[in-house]
Amino acid sequence: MIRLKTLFFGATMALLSACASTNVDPIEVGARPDKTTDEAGLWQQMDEYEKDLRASALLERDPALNAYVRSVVCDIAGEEYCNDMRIYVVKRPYFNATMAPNGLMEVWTGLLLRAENEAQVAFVLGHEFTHYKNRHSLKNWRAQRNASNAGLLLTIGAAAAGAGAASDLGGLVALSALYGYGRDLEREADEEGFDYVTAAGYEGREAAALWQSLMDEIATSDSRRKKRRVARASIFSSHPLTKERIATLQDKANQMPGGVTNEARYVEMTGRFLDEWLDADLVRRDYGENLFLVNKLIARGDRLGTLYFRRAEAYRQRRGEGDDVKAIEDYTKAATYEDAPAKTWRYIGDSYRRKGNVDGALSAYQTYLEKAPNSPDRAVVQLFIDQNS
Amino acid sequence: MGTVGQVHRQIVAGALVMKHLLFKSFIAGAMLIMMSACVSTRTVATTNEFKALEKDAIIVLMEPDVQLSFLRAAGMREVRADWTETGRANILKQIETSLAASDHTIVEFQSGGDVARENQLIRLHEAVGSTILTHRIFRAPLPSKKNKNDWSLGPGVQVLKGENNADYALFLYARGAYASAGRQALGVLVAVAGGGAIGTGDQQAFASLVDLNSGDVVWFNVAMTGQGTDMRKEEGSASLVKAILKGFPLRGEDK
Amino acid sequence: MTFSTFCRRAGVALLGALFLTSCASVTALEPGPYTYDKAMTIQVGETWTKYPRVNRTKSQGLTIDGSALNTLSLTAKLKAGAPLIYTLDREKILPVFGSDMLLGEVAEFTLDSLSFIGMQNTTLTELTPDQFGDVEAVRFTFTGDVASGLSYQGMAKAAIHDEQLYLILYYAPAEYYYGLHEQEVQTIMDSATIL
Repeated sequence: MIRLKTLFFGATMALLSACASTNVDPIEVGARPDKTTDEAGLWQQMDEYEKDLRASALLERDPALNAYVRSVVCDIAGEEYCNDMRIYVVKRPYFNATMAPNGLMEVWTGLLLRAENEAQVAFVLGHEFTHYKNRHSLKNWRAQRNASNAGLLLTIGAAAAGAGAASDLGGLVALSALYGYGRDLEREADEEGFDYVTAAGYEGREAAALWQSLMDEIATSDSRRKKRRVARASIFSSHPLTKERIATLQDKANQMPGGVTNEARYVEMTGRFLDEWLDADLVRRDYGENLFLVNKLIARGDRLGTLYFRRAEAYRQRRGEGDDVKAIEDYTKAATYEDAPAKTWRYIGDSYRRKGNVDGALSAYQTYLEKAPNSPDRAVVQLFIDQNS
Repeated sequence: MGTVGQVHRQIVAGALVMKHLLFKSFIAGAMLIMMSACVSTRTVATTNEFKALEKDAIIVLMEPDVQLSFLRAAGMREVRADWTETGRANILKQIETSLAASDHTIVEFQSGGDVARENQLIRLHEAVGSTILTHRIFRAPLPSKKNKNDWSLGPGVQVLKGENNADYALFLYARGAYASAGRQALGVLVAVAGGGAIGTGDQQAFASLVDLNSGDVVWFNVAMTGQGTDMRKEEGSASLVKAILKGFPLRGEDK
Repeated sequence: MTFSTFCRRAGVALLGALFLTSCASVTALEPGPYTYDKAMTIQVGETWTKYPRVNRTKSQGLTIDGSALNTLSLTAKLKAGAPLIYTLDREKILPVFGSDMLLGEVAEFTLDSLSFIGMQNTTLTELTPDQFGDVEAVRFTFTGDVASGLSYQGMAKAAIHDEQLYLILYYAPAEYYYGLHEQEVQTIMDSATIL
């Protein structure tokens, strides 16, 4: 028995001494962690990940867009830190950006689609930059490590006491500590990121506006599960409760002088990707959210040919009551604008064909083939024309 | 690192396909359990028509993927950059020594310029390697292959020959984890308290050899060495390389 | 791909294989005629591995060299409102088949479905008229990439009969494997009939 106690004491001491400090200073410009540290291990894993990312088909390689996003990051972070970061635009239709400890930042196209102006994107980038500068990955890793050590300790204590049921508790306590810590870091990233962004001259109110807009979008989701998950954001969610987040950012913004949003520049830089990004978003088959996004963009009034076409696409694929009529209305509207994609006529033709209007279909299909003579579905469209004219 | 992977196992028409972010730790854990249940090495010999070169083969070593971790008390694996560097250097040296002894030359991979195509072949090798692992090491049934081991990357592999005009490519993956003092104490404690085993470290490696003319995978091996071997040290890396190169078809005496 | 992806892939395939073998067996499909689900017939020229049919998607997977290296999937009698694939992530909304789809839309539905199982950047490369036995059909080809960066090529044949979808879908890495069994798959598609 004495031996067991000694062992238990030894193990406890070893576990406790393994607790590393989560108080770390901000990273310095040009710094690389010492190779013998846990931080170097995190960097190394992300370096490997980055190698794969560079070869990935998911990278958006458009030079102008990448240069633009990078310039926004550099405005916020300053040239010196900016030189330590690699920024990748990644084709994923979700609202997100990620930051790794080695300076790898991913900006997802779903974020660029949803932001209404440069200030809103800048806010997310400032948030991510704070994760980097304040070495949140390292803090988080150490917090997880400490939490899992503590959890294990409780489990062992409980096992030694013969109380099997209590062992789950250790896991739960450790788990919520871990997620709670994540929440604090997110709050810090929000607030400090806000300071960088407003110092760079951006309008502070756009931070809260971005979150509000995201909440509004989720409210239109076709996924009940998603709506429920967001509504009951709990102690386990790593992002601070969104309402609290919006209020905090709103308060901060109200104490600041106004700034720029650079909306015109943002629209110019991102406009030509809208067709592709909304198309990728529609693959998610969340028609409610997709229509919310398209309608928001239609209200902006730029590239209406593309946008009416995209709205028609959502109705066509949703196939709900009356959607066929709405789709043809929007395709027809799109066709009156210069920037309507050639496919608009393909689907106008399809709609007429479904309704048995052969002449309408023929005329639209002919326009389609004139506008897109090399389209991959040419043979199928041509067959219909040949059989019906 | 702001996002957390979600678990999705998805099935298309009965064939399993997986997404980018999977239950990482779970699978890694399952792997370890499977691995430790396996014998320590298992070689898959080719049924491709294969004649080993007498001597003087040039073998290009594709960027070896090595990662060594510190096994924390609670079982978390913390990658150590310095150990990884040492382990990789040790392994390279051991492979070089081992192959030089049978008159072969080993060179490190240098891109010949067509990076995109080279990358496709490296990715294809990963897909083929995990297929061999699944069906030949873990023995998931694949009756269409009968008992043949004739997987290939196809003649496209010639783009990997490089300026040395190599004959073969050697692919290598190695992982090691070494326990903290706390975990070692814990291992003893749990054993005393009548609990299950708590691992205090392990090393695993996979290697395959590809003919750079035909693309055929001519040899594939899996090795696992248990506690007491350590590729951070010369002896440990020697024993791992010895295990992983067991049955390596280009060694003179094995022909 | 990193080692962990490598392990993951093998591990998942293994777990999947265990899962599948525990429910029903994986068997060989020898050369000759094959009737799938009493609804579709094909002529097979090589030996394939046949996985159990998945009721939810009315589909069955076949492979020769392993499912990452070539996958042929047969689908018959898929009804309106049903997905072609399924996922355990229940927050996802899957594409579903619509019986009023034009055959070009079936191609779109197929490629969008593939994106839910990790095929990215799917692009239709050709869509041509075809026959599925006596039924009007389309044949289409496509390209795509998986997350590791490996590029895939695919081809498919689809028809809608009695408001239900009949689909033969094939995909394999563009490097070496697609071409390896392309002729066999062409023959299978040419021979397909609806019962």
